[in-house]
Formats: sequence, structure tokens, C-alpha cells
Amino acid sequence: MDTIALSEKRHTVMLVDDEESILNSLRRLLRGKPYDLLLATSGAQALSLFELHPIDMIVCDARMPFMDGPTLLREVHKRDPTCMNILLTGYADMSMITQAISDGYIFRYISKPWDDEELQLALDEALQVQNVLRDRDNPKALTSE
Amino acid sequence: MTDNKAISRETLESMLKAINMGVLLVDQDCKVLFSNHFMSINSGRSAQELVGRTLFEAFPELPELWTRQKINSVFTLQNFAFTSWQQRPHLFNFESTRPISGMVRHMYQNCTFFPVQDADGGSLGVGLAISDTTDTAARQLELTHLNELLEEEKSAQALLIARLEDAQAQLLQSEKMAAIGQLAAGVAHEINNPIGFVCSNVNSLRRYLVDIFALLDAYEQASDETHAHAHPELAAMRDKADYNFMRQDIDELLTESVDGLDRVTRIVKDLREFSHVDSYEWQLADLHKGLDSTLNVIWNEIKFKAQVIKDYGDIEPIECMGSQINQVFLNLLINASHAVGADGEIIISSGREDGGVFVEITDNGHGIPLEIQNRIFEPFFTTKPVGMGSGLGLSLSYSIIVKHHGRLTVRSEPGRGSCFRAWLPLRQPLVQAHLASAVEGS
Repeated sequence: MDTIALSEKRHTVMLVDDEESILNSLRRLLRGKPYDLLLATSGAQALSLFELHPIDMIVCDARMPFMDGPTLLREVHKRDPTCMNILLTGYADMSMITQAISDGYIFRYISKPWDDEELQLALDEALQVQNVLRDRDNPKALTSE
Repeated sequence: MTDNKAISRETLESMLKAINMGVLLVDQDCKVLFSNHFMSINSGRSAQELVGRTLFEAFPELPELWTRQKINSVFTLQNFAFTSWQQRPHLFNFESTRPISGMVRHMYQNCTFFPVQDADGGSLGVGLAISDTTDTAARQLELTHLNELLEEEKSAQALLIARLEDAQAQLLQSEKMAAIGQLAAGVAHEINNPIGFVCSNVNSLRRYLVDIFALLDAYEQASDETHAHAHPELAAMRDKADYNFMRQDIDELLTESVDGLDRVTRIVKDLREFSHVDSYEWQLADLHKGLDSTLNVIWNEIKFKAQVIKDYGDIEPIECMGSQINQVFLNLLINASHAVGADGEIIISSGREDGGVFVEITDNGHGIPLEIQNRIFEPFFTTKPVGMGSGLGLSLSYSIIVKHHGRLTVRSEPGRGSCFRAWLPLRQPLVQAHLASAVEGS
């Protein structure tokens, strides 16, 4: 797989936040990226979208009513461990974050207010890691190309 | 002296012999003329052995000089003299006959010296009446002892009360800080959300504008003379909107907005760092960073009152509870800002000393009167008007520094200003033990 093929591959990214303004600003930020974006304003909506679409990456707010970010991402991780999960947090609840990272169901966390560039880099990096992992788990696909 | 002839001299003498108190009669030379049963029983010597000898042969324990003086003065002046058990507890060395407690082994005595006259009214000698006051003395001594115990207990209680006051002050303040910390964390979260999307949107807007302006430029390039003539309203619109200015200003406008957002972000971050909701534990901290974020938090309170001069030295990070040390800085800085008048100046300096680091906060304010300088660290002591100060700031700061095995001292000259100095060791001796117990406990 060469780099051109990689960059042309479109990824499906789901953004989850109970505040629509956040979703909209993220959507604007990621407009130029080769992503198919899905937006959800609650954990429940995110899960039902997750059932319908193959999703490569989720960027999710930590504090949401009913189902909070870590709970949603833990659920997602159970169903698809290769989905890259990124947690957006408005406050640093360190124990919750370290627990989530050491349990392996989030790839990294980004604190609000985020730096646009840093967020974009984090998303790129997550997808690169995902590609490497998928290649490792499925070496046949590599050789057949 | 009695009118009753029925009572004979013998009767009187036997009564005198039998009475339950010591009776002695001595002449001017202190020779014993008469001694009763009480004296015999308690001294273990019969009346025959005592009578005819001097007092000091009969009772060698008597202080001769003092006794002679007493007897002489009574004999000469014909008046009474008295000595109580408090003055001379054991004038005669008698054993206690009725021990109330094992403690009392000797008889306590009161002794009265009285003049005795012969039938003609001439001076015959001096009588001594010795009464056993052991009971009274023992009770009295016990009471005194109890009083001492009570006194001790009282001072112990005073100490306890002082400690309680201290603990209450700390509790109050730490509760207050915890509440502020929670509030800060909550507010920070709420503010961070809108800041997050506003920042991001401003950046998106900037990118959009770049594209829009590129598009407009392209349109302009493409339009020719005939097109401009056909649509004169476009030029009018362009002038009315002051397009050239707008285009130039938009960049500045966005830059300023981003700067403003950065500032809000930093204040929120400082507020959180200051309250340190997440770090009520020992950690290595850079005191300069703590000072800076504390200054940011109270900048509004200080900036109109005093010029702040930073004279930071070269110090290394120290082991401390960052949030607590920040509280100390906050208290000292607020106090300094309250103390200064016009042309206020607050100097923050730091450096290494004595195997640790020090931070000094010096102001040119009204200073602290000498008579209260030793009270300013007491809990609830305040000179500020009601509502302005709880009187807890300095006492709390003091206990925080002490908890860090450091020292908080003050130098102040009334009218010239004050200098508070916190010295802290680089490492905490007990932290390792603390950590170990925390790990075990978890």
C-alpha cells in the first residue's frame, strides 16, 4: 500500500457532543479532510449510528447527559476494538482518563479548548496507527496488493 | 481565778495534765516547770524526765534561738505569740497520731506562747499550748495539691482550645478552598466548551475568508471596463462598505479576537491550576509558575493598587503541595495589596538559601505595628474591617508552611512596609512515608 493510496482512502469519523456548536465547529475544522463525518448529540444516538455504519474513529465529549463519553467509548471498544477513540474533555478528571487509557479503550484524550492543529495531528496519527494495526492483523491484504 | 471553791487545785492540775493538747510551762531561762500527758505521750518521755531540764535538752529539735526570742518577748512584754503549722509545720518532732493518709507521718502543730503569772501577779513564766492540726493541715495540703492539678489541667485545656481554634481555622479555610476549587473546576468546564468552539470557529472563519477573498480577487481580475460600466452600482457598494479598509481590518480583527480568546483560556487554566482540584498531593513544583498563576488570578485586585516587580532568582523545583503553596502566595499577595497606598510597590523575590528556597513578598505599605507583630499568625486575628478579612489567611499560611517543614517569618517597619518570607526545604522528609502509607491504604 503506498502513501497515495492511503491518503486517498476516505475514513468514516463520528463526532459526539451534546453541544451542537461544538459539533459544528469540529465539522468546519475537518471539512478539508478526507473524512466522511457522522454527527451525534448523545451516546445513544452515537451507538445506533455505530450499528449502521462502519466507523474508523470517534471523537467524543467526556461529559454528556445520560451516557458519558467513557461509557460510550467502552461500549464501542467492546464491539470494535480497532475503532480509534479520542476523548475530548473540558476538565481534567485525571483518574477517569488514566483509567480509560490503561483499559485501552481510548487512544488519547484532548482537553478543551483544543488547539486546531493539535487536534488534526492527533486524528491523523490515530488513523495511521490504525492502518498499521490493521495491516499487522491482516498481512494477506498487504501481500496481495 | 475561779470563784468556785469546789474545784480544787488538784482538779485543775489533773485537767491540765489530761487535756488533749500539749501544755508546757517554762521559766525565763526556758527551764521546763510543767509538762502534761500529751507531751509525754508524743515525745515518749515521762514528765519527770522533762521537768527540770531546759526546753532544748527536753526537745532537741526546737530551734533554740527562735524559741528563746519568742519566750523572752512574751515574758518581757506579757503578750501572746503564735506560730502556725504553715509557718513551722513540725515545731516538735512528734509522729502523727491519726494518719489521714500515708503521706502524713509527722504531726502538724499550732503553738501559742502565753504569759503566766504567779498568785501575786508577777511574771512566773511562759506557757506553751500545742495543738495537733494534722487533720486540718492534711486536708489543706490535699486541697492545695488538687488546686495545682486543676491549674495544670486548666493550662492543658487552654492549649487544647488553642489547637482546636487552629484546627477549626484550617478546616474553615480548606473547606472554603475546596468549594472554590470545585466551583473553579465547574466554571472552567462550562467556559471551556464555548471557548473551544469559538476558537475553532474563528480559525475556520479565517480560512473561509482567505478563500472568499481569493474568489473576490478572481472576480475583480475577470471584470473589465465594459463590465464596470454596465454595473456602476458595484463600485458604489464597494465604496460604501469601505471594502479596502474592511479587507485590511479583518485580519487585525481576527488576530485580536484570537488573542482575547487566548487570554480567557489562560485565565481559566490558571484558575484551575491555582485551585488544583486535581493535585492535593505532594509533587515537584516550580514555585515561579505557582507565583505567576496566582498573580494572574488576582491580577485585577492588584493591578490598580500596586506595581508588581518580579525579582526571581534561580531556584529548582521543590517537593510541595502546589495548591497549598499557591494559597500562601495568594494570602501574602492580597495582604500586600491591602497594605499599600498610593505608589504601591510589591516586590516578589526568590532564591536559594540554607539547602532550600525562599520566596519574599515585600510591600511598601503601612507596615505592622510592633505590638501586634507577634499576633498576626494567630487564627482569627485581623486588623481588617468586618467582612474584609477572616483573620485566617496568615494563620493558615503559617500552618501550611510549617506542614511543609518550612518557616514563615515577617519583618515589618510601621510606615515603611512589610516583608513576608517563606522558606521551604527542597525535599520533604516524611513524604516517602506518606506515599508508602497511601499505597498501602489504597
